[in-house]
Amino acid sequence: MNQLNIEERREGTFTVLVLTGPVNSYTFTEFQDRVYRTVRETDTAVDMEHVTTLSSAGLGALMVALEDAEAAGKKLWILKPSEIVRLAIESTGFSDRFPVTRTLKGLA
Amino acid sequence: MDGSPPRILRSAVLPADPEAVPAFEDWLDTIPPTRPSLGNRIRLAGGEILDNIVRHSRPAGGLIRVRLRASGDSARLSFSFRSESFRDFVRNGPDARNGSIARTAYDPGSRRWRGLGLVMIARLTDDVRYRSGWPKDRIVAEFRDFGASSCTPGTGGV
Repeated sequence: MNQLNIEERREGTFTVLVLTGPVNSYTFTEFQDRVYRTVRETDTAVDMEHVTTLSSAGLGALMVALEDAEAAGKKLWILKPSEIVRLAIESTGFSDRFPVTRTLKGLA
Repeated sequence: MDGSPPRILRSAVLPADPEAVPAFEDWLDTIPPTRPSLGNRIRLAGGEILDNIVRHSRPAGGLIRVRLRASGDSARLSFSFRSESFRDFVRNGPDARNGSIARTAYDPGSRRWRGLGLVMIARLTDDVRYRSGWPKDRIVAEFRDFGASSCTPGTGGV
């Protein structure tokens, strides 16, 4: 499957972007546009449970989105990362920059 | 059946354009699974290597050959192609693992992180070699599975 699907739902104060498929050099711009727009307006969670790969381009977009969220006084969490997403984050050496959670309960 | 993991030797020819990465991921999906942690590292590091080849090396003929050899707890992934600009890359920084090129920097102008892919390659592989020469230029990545789904510790110069 080489298409990234992005669905949106609300959970408390959060907008949850639910990603399904690969976030790679081919698909990351769609994710980047969506998450940059969302973090400026609302607390955001990116549900990555069904992400099948995460490239450096996608990770870079997440890192910029984290800075944008902070500048806008909003929160950005990575929700339920898949095993390969966890590995990709770890491989950057910047794991401590990525706020990861299994649930938004208590955060919303 | 002796229960030992299957030996895998597969190859494919990929287009040297932005379709290369999704074509590579599709190709990996056709290969019998190795250990999950090894498979994830191959997918992530291979995608980064391929993306760098396509964006920076501009292979002649528009093709890249990929080969995967895996057995038990180890795997070798190689990419071969022909590229003039790859020679300069090899001359200037032949080994991402020595830390000389595996560093990241944020470019505020483009709002992009530079070098993140090379860091990932260095940390996800146990060895990576960049070779320029006739008849092909090659990048060979080695993976060994030590049982944990994690990156190689202490590498990458970050």
